[in-house]
Amino acid sequence: MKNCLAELREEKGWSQGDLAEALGVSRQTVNALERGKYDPSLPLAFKIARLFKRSIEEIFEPNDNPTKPSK
Amino acid sequence: MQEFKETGRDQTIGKRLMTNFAVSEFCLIAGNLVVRFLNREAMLPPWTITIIALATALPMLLFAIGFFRMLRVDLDEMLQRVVLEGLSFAMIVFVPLAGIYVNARAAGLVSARLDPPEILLLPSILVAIGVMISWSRLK
Repeated sequence: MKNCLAELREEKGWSQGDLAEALGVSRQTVNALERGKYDPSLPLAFKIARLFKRSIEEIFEPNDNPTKPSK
Repeated sequence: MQEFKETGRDQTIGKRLMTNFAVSEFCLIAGNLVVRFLNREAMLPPWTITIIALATALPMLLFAIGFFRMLRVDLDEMLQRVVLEGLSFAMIVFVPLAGIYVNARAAGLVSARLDPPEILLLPSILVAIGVMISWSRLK
């Protein structure tokens, strides 16, 4: 899953460690999230969205954009 | 960056977990080799060898007790996944290997006889390999 977590974090001037502390996860997890190597659980995605005051869809985007369902 | 400060999770937990496991595993294997050697050479009295055997297994026992708490409480969701994938890897590799060995031995294809230590220590080594594989995919 693609995301703009790194940009949002840098906008705030936070380090990965700062963000990890705010989210209650390890710095390695923040790193893996930013690089798109790890997809967060729903509770963590909500926590991230709340932290940056954005919706989940604004931060995370699936790699394969879903096409409209066929009728 | 203080407005959302939340939990202060221990940032060294993954490293500590792996270090504790590696040290425990090393003690276990080294202890096993030393005990085998001492038994063969009959250099020390049996009670001393027994103490060495139990003492070198103690770190793994302590690690196992702490591991469950670490897994449930201290690790975040990604590190939990890494550890659980490591455990799954060990199971997935060990069970077919054991099955193949048992059947091949029963059929007379393999004559080598594995000692219990080799069989019992293999899963813990496989867990370490599984954790490394899982970790490398997320790094």
